[in-house]
Amino acid sequence: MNIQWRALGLWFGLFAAFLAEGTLPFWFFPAEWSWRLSPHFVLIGVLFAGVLIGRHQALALGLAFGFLQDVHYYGHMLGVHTFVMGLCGYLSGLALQRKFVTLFYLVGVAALGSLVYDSLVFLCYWLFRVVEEPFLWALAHHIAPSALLNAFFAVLLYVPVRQYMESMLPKKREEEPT
Amino acid sequence: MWNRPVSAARPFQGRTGRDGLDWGVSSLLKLFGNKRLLILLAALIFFVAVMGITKGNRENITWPEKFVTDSISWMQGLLYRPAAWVAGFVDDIRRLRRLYEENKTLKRTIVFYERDMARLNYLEEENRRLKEALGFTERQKSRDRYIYRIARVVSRSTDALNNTIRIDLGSEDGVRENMAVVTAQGLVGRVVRVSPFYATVELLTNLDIDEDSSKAIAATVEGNESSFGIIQSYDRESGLFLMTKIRLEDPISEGDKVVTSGLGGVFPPGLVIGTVVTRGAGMLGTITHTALVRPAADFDPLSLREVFVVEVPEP
Repeated sequence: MNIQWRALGLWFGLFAAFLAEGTLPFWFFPAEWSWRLSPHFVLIGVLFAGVLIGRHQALALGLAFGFLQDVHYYGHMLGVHTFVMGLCGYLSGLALQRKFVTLFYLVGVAALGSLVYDSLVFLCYWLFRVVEEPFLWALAHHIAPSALLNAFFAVLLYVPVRQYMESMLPKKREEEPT
Repeated sequence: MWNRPVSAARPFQGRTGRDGLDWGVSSLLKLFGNKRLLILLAALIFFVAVMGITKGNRENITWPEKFVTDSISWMQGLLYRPAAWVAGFVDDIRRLRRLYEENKTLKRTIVFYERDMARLNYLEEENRRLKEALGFTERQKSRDRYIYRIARVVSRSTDALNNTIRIDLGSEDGVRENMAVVTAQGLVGRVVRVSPFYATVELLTNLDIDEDSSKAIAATVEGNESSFGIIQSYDRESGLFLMTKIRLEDPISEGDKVVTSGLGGVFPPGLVIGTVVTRGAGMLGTITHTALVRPAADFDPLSLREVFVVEVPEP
């Protein structure tokens, strides 16, 4: 029962992260960079959930908060973030789970996840001819800088998020099929 | 192409070997033997369909969308205001030294403004009198009396390729889709979705090449209103707008100030868009010309703390 409450707390935590990522971080960026750096707090949470908890939890979180992002900042179209964030969460749970998870590993996951996420979003927009710039330009323009930024945020979030997520797991953790 | 994901997923899947598939079997069979990939494909198709359907102008959003976005915006407003205040305060301190100089210049310009004001009052009075004499209808007279409603920004998108912001005016305040949104520097965007208390503004940097023409902006040049062009798209690489459909005999040239023409029927005329950087032959060769236009407005958070929604009064 305690674990269920904690799962609910995780959803609220990610919701707070969603509120924060659209209002707080870019005040600290230089003006010319404000649209080039994308803080992905929610994505970091989803990726961590995939690695530390499980792929299904991460998939659910990714779909839900991706959809929220889509609806709330509805510009070009719906569905891009829902799909990509769900996919990233699921893949992180599927391919990136390890027995011993270190700080560097999780930070690497966050950077890689941010890279893949922004690239897939770019691909979706490119398919629908929303962007016509070459991918290499996008990589240098916002994808790579955002990955570095999110690695930095992952360092800051590592201790609290990891503690919280590990307390969500049942004690008999070894039996979990990975 | 589908071979790779299958083999990547294989070690993690306990039941792959169930139907005895070997690596030599055709990729098609593998594909349909793999439940996970099938679901992924279905999801891909589903989401591509959703993206295609919801792309472009979908004016009336549903009430759950309105409810969710309004509630979130309200909460974000609580976070955004203090953050904006702190950031603005830090910025002010940094600029304190420059303020003295700025103040001196402003005092000088205010004298000019006062002189112009007297002249303006006279001209306005004369304009009113002449309109009366020429029998303008009430509707015609009210056409250029725009209402600038100030709106606070409550949040902004974190997607570098989808530049939207949320403002704290909604349909209850008379905001409608497609209203122009400006700052003191110039046009910044348009209202795209409206919920009761908040609205989503799509910045001009979101203009894309494949947009249906209803999103493009009819533009002209300040001081020469017979010029005409269409602000078609924004090039993120160079940070310039592409202005198309300029007639060959049109005198638009480098340095001209581009403003909205009001011909589209959506935006009021006279809102500043930017300055012409270059003009040259367009994609259609010599039929029409295109120009590159540098935006007048800034799109960074400090410039977008407050924006104005321009309302054209209904008679």
